[in-house]
Amino acid sequence: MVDIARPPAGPQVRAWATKHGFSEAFAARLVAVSRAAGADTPLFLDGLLRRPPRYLRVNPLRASPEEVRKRLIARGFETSRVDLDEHVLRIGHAPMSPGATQEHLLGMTTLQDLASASAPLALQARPGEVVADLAAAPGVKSLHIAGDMQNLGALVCVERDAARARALRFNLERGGAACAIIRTEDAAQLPEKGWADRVLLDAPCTGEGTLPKDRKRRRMRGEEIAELCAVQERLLDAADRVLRPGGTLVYATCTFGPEENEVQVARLLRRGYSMQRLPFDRCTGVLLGRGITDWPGHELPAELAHARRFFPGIHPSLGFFVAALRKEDA
Amino acid sequence: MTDPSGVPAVGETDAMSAQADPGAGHRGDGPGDAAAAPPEAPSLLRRPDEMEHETIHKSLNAVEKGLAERFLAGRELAVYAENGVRRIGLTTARVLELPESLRRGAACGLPVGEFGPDEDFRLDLQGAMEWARITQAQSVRAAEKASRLFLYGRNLLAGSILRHDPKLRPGDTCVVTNPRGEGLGLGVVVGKFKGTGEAVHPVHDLGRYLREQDLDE
Repeated sequence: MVDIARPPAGPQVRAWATKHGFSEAFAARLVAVSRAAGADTPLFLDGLLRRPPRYLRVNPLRASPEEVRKRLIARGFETSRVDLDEHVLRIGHAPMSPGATQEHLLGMTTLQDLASASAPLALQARPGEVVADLAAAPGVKSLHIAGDMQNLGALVCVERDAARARALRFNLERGGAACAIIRTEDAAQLPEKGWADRVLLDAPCTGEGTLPKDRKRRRMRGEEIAELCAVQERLLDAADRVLRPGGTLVYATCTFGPEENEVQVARLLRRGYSMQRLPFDRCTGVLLGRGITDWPGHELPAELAHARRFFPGIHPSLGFFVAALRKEDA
Repeated sequence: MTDPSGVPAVGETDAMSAQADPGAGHRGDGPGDAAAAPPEAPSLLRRPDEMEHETIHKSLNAVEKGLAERFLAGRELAVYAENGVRRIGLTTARVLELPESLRRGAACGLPVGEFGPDEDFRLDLQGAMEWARITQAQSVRAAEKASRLFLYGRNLLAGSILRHDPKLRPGDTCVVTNPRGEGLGLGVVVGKFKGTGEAVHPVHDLGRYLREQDLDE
């Protein structure tokens, strides 16, 4: 069982928690995380209270960003580019839901938060490779990976939940992901070993990063973190099993707690994995938070600083954690 | 309806037949797998056997010479069973080289059709999208407003159709496109393309992705 840090809440934190409906223990953890990652705590806390901008990502298997942008402008949308990913468009004025346009139904776009795009970007999948996406629904990242692979190679998308697998199928179908296959099962049940050149595990998590759009999460309990940590450990073991020696594993969550992030990654480092530098270090010009290496109750290697964190309020996105690791050669 | 060569070309028994009853197809993995796997074993995603390959190619090429090659566009065909139906997808050679244990129980990322009860090749929704990219045969092009309504499951009126394949007759299945020629779904011709009456009833349309599922993160 993973130790869950319970930092004390000072008077200022308690007052902020009471004012905004957070549990005091949870607010104290959020403050401790931002400090440990070197982030601007007041900006971060403020960002947790406000929705970030909306984004869509252009699917290069169906259209170019220029073409989609022109079409959306003709429909009355205002869009702008962002520096993290040339295929992502920030949505300004929208005369209708961007998920209800013909462009969306034709598979030219997917809707996702900006930070979510960082996981496939970190994976750097290439044409002809064999790639596994182990918690693939709803498939927005899977489609991003298929685009990076230029639909060449094999992308094995795995989703345990049948209802969520349906969304995965719809997104892959719309997007024309011919290189993808879908397996509806727990990743821990996957057959064979060492067949994947790259593995993405965007793990099930407590979802603290979605706080800006989900007020219900303001009273997070420590027990939930422990439960999810057990799931993450199991899925990371599955990822380790299917990844070939020398292959790349990207681990990501949309949560802040180091127990679900750096602590999980540290387990693999102890097995001989090494951290890889990510191909990005900022978002809309602002440096991303670094991975945490000092957290109560855990010994965390210094190389975890190569992981990156998105903080609402500091970056125009929801919260996100992403790390890339290389598996030791055989 | 047949073309002069005698090969089924348009209507309910060929490639343009809409997938109206997904549960009506044949059960099993096909000839290559039936003997090897126990009845309850998950289906194997595999290459089509010789007969399946010929059925698909003949069906497409009967509509237009070279259509099968354009439809595949360098991709491979895959066959897999799902809910008792033998489905057909577009895939890659690398997928088909994956270990059999990984392909068993898997579904194709880009399904394009299925084998019907008479072993005929039937396009499904994404098959229609692929079709619209390469040919105007068996197609109906709707005006912008009619295209939007079609995506909500509405009929196409004759006055809202910009162009249509003159070979289409009532009862035929057709691909419905927007003014840009982008596929929106499958319909059935129900009337004349002149006047103000109903011309096409929807069968499948891309709007189902919105109606049936939350696609976004």
